[in-house]
Amino acid sequence: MESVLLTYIIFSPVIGLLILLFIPRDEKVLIKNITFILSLVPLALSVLMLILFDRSNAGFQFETLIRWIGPLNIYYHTGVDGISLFLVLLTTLSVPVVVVSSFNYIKTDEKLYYMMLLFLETAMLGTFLALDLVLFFLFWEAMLIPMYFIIAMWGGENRVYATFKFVIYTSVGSVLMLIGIFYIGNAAGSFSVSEIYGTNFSVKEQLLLFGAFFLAFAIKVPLFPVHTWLPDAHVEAPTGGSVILAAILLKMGTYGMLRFVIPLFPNATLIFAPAVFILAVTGVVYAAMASFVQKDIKKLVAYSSVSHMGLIVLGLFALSRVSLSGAVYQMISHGLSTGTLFLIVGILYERRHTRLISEYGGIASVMPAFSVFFMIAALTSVAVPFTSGFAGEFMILFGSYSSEFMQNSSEYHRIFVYIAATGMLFGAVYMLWVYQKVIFGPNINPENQNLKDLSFREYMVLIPYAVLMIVLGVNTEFVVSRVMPSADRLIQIFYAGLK
Amino acid sequence: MTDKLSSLLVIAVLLPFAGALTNGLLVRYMPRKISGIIASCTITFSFLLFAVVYIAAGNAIRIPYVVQVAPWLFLGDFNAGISFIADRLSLIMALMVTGVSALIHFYSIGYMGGDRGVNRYFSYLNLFVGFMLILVMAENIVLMFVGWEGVGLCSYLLIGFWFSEEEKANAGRKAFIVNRIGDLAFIIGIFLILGYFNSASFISINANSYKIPEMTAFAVTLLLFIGATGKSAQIPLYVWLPDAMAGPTPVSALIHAATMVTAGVYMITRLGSLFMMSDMTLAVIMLTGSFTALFSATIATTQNDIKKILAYSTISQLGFMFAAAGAFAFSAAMFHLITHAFFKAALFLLAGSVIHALSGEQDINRMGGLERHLPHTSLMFWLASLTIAGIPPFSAFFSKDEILYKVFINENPAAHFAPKIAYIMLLLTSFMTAFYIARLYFKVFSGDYKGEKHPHESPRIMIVPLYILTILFAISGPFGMGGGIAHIMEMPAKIFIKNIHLTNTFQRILEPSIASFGSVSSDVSTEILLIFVSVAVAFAGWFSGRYLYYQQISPVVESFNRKFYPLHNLLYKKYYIDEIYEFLIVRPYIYISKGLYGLIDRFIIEFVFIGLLVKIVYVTGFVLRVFQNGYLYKIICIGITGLGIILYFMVGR
Amino acid sequence: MIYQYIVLSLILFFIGLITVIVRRNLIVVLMGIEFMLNAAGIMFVTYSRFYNNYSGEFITLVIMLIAACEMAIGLSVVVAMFRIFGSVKSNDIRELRN
Repeated sequence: MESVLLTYIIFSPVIGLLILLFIPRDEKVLIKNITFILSLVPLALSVLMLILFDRSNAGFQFETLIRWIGPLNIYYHTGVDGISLFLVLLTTLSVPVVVVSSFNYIKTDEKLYYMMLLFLETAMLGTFLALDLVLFFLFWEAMLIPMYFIIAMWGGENRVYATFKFVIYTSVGSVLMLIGIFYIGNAAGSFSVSEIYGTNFSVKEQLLLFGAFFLAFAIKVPLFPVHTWLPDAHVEAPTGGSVILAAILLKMGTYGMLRFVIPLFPNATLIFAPAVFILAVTGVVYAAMASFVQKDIKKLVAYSSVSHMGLIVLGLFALSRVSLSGAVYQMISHGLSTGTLFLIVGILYERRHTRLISEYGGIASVMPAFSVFFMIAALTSVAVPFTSGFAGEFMILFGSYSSEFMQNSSEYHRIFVYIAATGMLFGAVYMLWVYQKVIFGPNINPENQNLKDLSFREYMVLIPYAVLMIVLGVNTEFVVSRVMPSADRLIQIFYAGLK
Repeated sequence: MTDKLSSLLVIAVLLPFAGALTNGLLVRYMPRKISGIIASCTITFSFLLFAVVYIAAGNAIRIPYVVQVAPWLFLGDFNAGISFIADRLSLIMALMVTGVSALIHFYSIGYMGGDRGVNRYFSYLNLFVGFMLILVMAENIVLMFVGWEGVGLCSYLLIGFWFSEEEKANAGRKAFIVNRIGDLAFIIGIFLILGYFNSASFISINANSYKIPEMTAFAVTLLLFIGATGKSAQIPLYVWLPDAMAGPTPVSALIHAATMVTAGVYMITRLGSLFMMSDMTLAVIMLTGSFTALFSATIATTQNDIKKILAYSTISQLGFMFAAAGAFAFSAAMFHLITHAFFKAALFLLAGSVIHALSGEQDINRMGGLERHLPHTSLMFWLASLTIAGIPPFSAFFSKDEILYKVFINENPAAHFAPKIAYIMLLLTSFMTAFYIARLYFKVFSGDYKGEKHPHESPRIMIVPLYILTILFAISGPFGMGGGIAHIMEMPAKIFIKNIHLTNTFQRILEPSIASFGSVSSDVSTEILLIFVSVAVAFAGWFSGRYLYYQQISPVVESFNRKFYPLHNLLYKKYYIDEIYEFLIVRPYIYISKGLYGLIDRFIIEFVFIGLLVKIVYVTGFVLRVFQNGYLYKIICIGITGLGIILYFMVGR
Repeated sequence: MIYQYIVLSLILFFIGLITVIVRRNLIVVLMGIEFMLNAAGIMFVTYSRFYNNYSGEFITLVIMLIAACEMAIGLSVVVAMFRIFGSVKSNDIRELRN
């Protein structure tokens, strides 16, 4: 079953990049418009993929398997299943949004910026669609380059420090993972997922490989306590960079755990699961508390990301079909809500050039429409019912609560769920606090009194995310019916490999 | 139930959402006046639809009828769908909610007419009704949680409606967060239920509840009850309700008196069979309810803000309902819920009318003598006061009496003393209720006017809904008359009609859809005795209030306050509960957050851990720098040495 | 016979190496490098002659080609350095040192 659709999706941004190369750098308006149109191509292709997607098939679809580096059994192997399907869609949706949102924010070297964005899109799509470890690693590392430049060239004051931290942290994980990949390739004789899924590693091997892979992914997620690169990177990144970082890059960590760590090393997963639960749950509570004391809105949102991602990791390692589907759902939902929150901070920043919470107040009186979008994102973030956040969190929490795997792996597994559920409370504490500080209250600061409400372009940026947050909150079937079979299959693979 | 009726039901639930959307999105481009009319009409129409369904369905809804709308959350083996339950309990509750809401919507047209954000207001208000209907009509506990959180959200939005005042925005946030604490317990309770019953549907939960072991039942019901204390403002989570009075007065009437705060009682009634499984929880509910009733009634006797008094009164009355639920008298609880919705909504709206008349004045010390200026308001306020005081023949007399009686005869195996203590507390509360409402009424309406602004009677759009509510609370009592009252009433009635047998209509209607032990036999004479006791107490409370506050404040009050200054101050300061919470929970949370962030992120991770790594790298680099000194000849020498070493190992050996 | 050729090649190589290490003048250093390359070339030619395998001579041709290119680039870099730093002494150019 060969299909070129996924290859088109992955490489269409690169083709766009090549087209962009021929446009003189001074044609700024042209560059912006053309990038926007070019970024719609992968979106259209991935929507086509969604339409053609067969929801009854739990395995990989649209697979392409081409021998790439023959002697080493490295393949160009791509495919999509229910888990990666919506992450791909989230990516292809986010890039046009980010492109439009950057129109006013990026004022220097536009051509390079948009080229970087398109390059980044290819790398992200490749990461989600690659089914060969080496190919996966290639895209995983390739994503670092444009992200580095986006933060380092268009970032804030302290960008050198932030990019350095970002790159060093990520590289440390990547290096270990690379060693792990070599080991697996050597042991299994192939790097392709379809062949390595059945490999039998001894428990000792599994523990070491788990360590190598998990650290790489945990840094990306980021899981407590390796999360400190994220707030700095977010604060310094331009709006577009932050949105991509929060909406998609973080999901690559959880996606990697789901795709490689859990099915490849089932015994190690069983042994390490309690430790992962402790880290995840600590992260949920701790990051929620940490975000409450932040003075910078972006930092607050960054810490809220850490908190939410901890919950997703809990759902992944609880390994029940409900919690897994919930975790995937929450990945989407978190991408939408946090993406919107960063867009919103960006909109404020463009107007006032500050991100300090104390500088704002009473914005609702001058920017009512803006306040509505902020409200929707904040409510999704604190998991109010009928927003996508609630569906995700509820499925994660209930799935973990009723998970047999969790019951087997640790005696007090329900305590983790109870503690994780407090995240919903602490989330409300900081999110409503910042909302109130920024939006409500008297509008005293004279600089805030003449702020303009959303422009047409900003509406166009915010509406797709906002609509999706509510639609996915009410209709969960559309996503879950596609995710759940793949989640079931993953659990099957996991139990088949368990010794 | 036919398909037609079920689609009518779905439309009735969705109408308020449609209204909210219309008001939120379209009315910005239309004249402001239209928003109130749209909102009120959608709710009225929804009310009518519910009435049609209720009447047309007739006996079909003796057994709960389930209307499946759409699947929603997949939870493994089962699905928590968007589906509604139609039985008498839910439909009566829905009728009450939409009916009272419709009246309050019409009232709001007059009250909020001049406000700039009137379409935002009506949009929120419609949204609230929509979520409340979801809460009421929900067929499964997860969907109920949707309504549960949704109404909390709308309450947050409406309390903070005048968001430009910091204090009001704070009150909204406080309400949401305190509610979230309860919701946390509620959601864990939901997990327990879903995990145990493997179903979310109320019908199967209630049907299988007898299988649940004692301890699990205790844990589940207690968690759900904690959730209820959040939403229904009981100890320990009641603190948000008095602050919630920062919202517009019709909001206080609708959300914080008539509908949302009664959600906890409704939830307990809905899951009656489950709560029946744990006597411990029932004892806890009864004692918490009655203690809350007494506690907040004492606070209400000293407050000076007209809305705060009514807020504490609401908490107190909700305590009554919980006490009844704890005594397993769900019908009595529901009946008091409905009469309370009528008279407390009326009281709030009347207070709103007073505040409106005085252009925003809320301090009752600066009112007085409003009888002459506001004839309609004062008449209705008088009736409502008598009603809440429990004076016959108004509705609260019937409902409250039923509760007192049911609590008195309750026998709880888990705690034998609980019902008697609860009864004494509730009786004391009855006295206090009559007293504080008399104080409020006479301070506001009798004597001389003490304010500066010129009071004026409210427009007709506000008065007419009030008269409808007044009729409702004045005459609705006999529908739920208890056995004792029925006995008394039968005696004179027998002169005219032989064989008359008066019964509790409300209970009879509700019987099929609520859990009950069957009738507990008791002799009528005890009941009649209790009726006389409570009526006497009510009159005593009313007249002592009248004695102390009629025309002018009696000197007795002053000397009492001076003599027992610590007591008065304690009550006036609301037992310092807010301060205690601030000191015990809020501040520690802030300090712990700050401390943890500083300790873990800034110190342990960034400074110690990362710092250490950086130091190691730096020192290594410092040592290795000797080799990288930038002199070409040294670099080459080192290179050649290295080459030599490699050659030695590769070739030399 | 082969012995002398190898000695010649080694002598040339070490002259070049010592030149590179000892001299500071970058032009002379480049000349040292050229010495070493040519030493390697002589070695190749020697062996190809004695083993009757002509590939060594081809490689020598390639080496000469590379050496020419390298010389061109190297000299141009040195000239550029002279323009920037005003000197062609390797010790004076301290951009890589703190």
